[in-house]
Amino acid sequence: MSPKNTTAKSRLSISDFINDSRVIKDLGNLKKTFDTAQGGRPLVVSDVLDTEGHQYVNLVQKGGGVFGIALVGYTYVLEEMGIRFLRLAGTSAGAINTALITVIKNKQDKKSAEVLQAICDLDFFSLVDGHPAARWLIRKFITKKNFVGKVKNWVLFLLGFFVLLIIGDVALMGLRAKFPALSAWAGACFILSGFWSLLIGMGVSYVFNLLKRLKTSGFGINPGDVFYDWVKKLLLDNNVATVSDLNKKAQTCPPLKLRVHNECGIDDLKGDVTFIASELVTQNKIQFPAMCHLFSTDADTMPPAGFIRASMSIPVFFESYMINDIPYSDNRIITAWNSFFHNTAPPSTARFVDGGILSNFPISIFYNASIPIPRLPSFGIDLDDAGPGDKGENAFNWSLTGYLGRMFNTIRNYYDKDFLLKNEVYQKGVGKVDLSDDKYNWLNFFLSDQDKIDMFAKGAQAACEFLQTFDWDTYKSNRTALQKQLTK
Amino acid sequence: MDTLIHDAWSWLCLSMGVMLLTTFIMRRQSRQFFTMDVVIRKFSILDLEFPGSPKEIPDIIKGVYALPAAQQKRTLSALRGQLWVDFLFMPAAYGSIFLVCIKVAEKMNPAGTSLFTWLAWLQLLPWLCDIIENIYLLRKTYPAVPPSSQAVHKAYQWLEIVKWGISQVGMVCGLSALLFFWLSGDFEVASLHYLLIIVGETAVFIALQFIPQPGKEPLPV
Repeated sequence: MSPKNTTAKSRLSISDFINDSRVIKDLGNLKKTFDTAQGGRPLVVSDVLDTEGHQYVNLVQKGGGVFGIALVGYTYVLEEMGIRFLRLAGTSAGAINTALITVIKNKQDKKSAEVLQAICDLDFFSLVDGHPAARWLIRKFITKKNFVGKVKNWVLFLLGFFVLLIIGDVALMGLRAKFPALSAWAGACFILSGFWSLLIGMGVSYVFNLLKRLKTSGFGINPGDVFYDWVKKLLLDNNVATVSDLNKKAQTCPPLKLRVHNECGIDDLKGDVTFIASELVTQNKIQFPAMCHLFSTDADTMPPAGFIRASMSIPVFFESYMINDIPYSDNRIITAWNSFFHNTAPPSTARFVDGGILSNFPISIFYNASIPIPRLPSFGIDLDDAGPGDKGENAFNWSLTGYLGRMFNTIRNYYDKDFLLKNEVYQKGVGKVDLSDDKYNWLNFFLSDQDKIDMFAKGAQAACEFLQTFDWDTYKSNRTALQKQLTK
Repeated sequence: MDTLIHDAWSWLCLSMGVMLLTTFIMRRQSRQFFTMDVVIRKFSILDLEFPGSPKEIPDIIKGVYALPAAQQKRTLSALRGQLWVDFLFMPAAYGSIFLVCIKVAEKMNPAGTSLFTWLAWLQLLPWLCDIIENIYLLRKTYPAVPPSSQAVHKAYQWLEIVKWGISQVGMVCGLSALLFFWLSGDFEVASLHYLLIIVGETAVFIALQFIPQPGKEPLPV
């Protein structure tokens, strides 16, 4: 896929996002709050600093389809406030922003402008790269609220008219003996019946053909090739072609120092990056690139873009990401599977779907039991996309889809929720972007430019609110207390 | 042409016979249609006729060339073979529709006659489209063929719509009218003999489907 195929037709520019009045106002207020020259308090969010005074935090970003734009708004504000990211993790859309922040320029640099440029250059709808009929259906289904009702009405009309035609055939055939003048009408009715049955037959066979395609493509409507090529190009533009390049980018930090003494020192602090994917053959949560040795004896033969593609393989919406020809009989592979999953029979093929079905908000990977006093916090960006309908607590009012949706959400969210319930202090580092109004749909790849700017502004607003209330000293002491409690 | 129209029933039996025979051969060939799409999977000629994007046909063909050598040979031979056999299928299929439309046209009132005569002669258009389609596809069966431009892809989609649209309308309207005239007793009883021949041909065609074919599954890697 050539890059031009993903190029947006709109004239959206970086300035449209960062010069949005809401963003300027919120950021201006935030800067004033922490402007010591004007009597504000200093912004302290971490004890880890570089020589330029940037404060370092770990960052985890939640998945959420096109809501990923809000993540960019959030990280933009953090960057503007002098915060940089040491360790990064993300799932699905969170994995995309995580990848871009990792590979663009150096750790101490701001990256939001480049990330926004990538968003401006991208035609979101090009990511929906399935069959034209499927694209049309997805577009209508997501953008037209009463689309299902309209389809139902059309199907009823087609079938109803067909029944009328058959009745007409029988009636006119009977009547033509008595009224020969009806003969021509009877013939016309027969021909129309044939034509109508052709329409219905073609519609049914087309639907069957689409379902067959869905089956042969591994139950994914969109191949996801455009997305893969887009991410691959962005990585290559930033000199990341191999897993080694990716790890090097993630690990390379400027000289770091501690604001206050910490017995753990600073030497072991280094950056890394993690993308979460769900592997269906062995039914495991996979952390890329740390676990890429499960699938290849030479990690550098694996494309890093594949990790992000695997992480965002929304089931059914995108085809699964596959890794084929795993050298499963190789001792190194067997050892790797044994050490990670106690599995001595590795698979020959791995099939990945969105990491979000297991861990959409993988903040638990930053848990480190060996550090008594934290040196830097783990920040998280949560996307609250529970629509008004989803919040209804009258369990008898749910539709079947609402019921199934709640069941799925309960299962997929509980893994991360359980960690946060047991380690409540981590919740203090989490900012929530409210995208719960009915205006947005996480699968709406047909967003208007204004919607994109609105989402960015909501992310920026959430980051401002979070930083206004975040208290590093309290966070640190709470985590220290938790650690003491655990080691008692 | 007069002889053709005069003996339309006989010619219809013949063309239906040829159509069913070529369909039988093409169905056997299509059982060898495999491509490598991460794993080996089947594809059908409809996947080539209705590609979702310009990349889809080259991707399928690329997958064929990625198959193990023996299976690759089988698939390519079956695919090209089917496209060539299709050249025999075309006159029989579109000819059958032509004959049905011509036959019902002569029973119609003037408006119906002119409509069905038009529909009959219009079958030349899908035939032409089918020829172009097969030449296009035959040229795509080589390794590393680049995807067509968006304009060519659009034109190919329209070609398929014209081909399928006109032929299906002709077939369904012709058969509906034929059914009407048979039910209303406007055809001679003798014409039912031809119907029996066609039913017999179809029965033989269905029976032939049960003949086992070796190599239905892809060859092991």
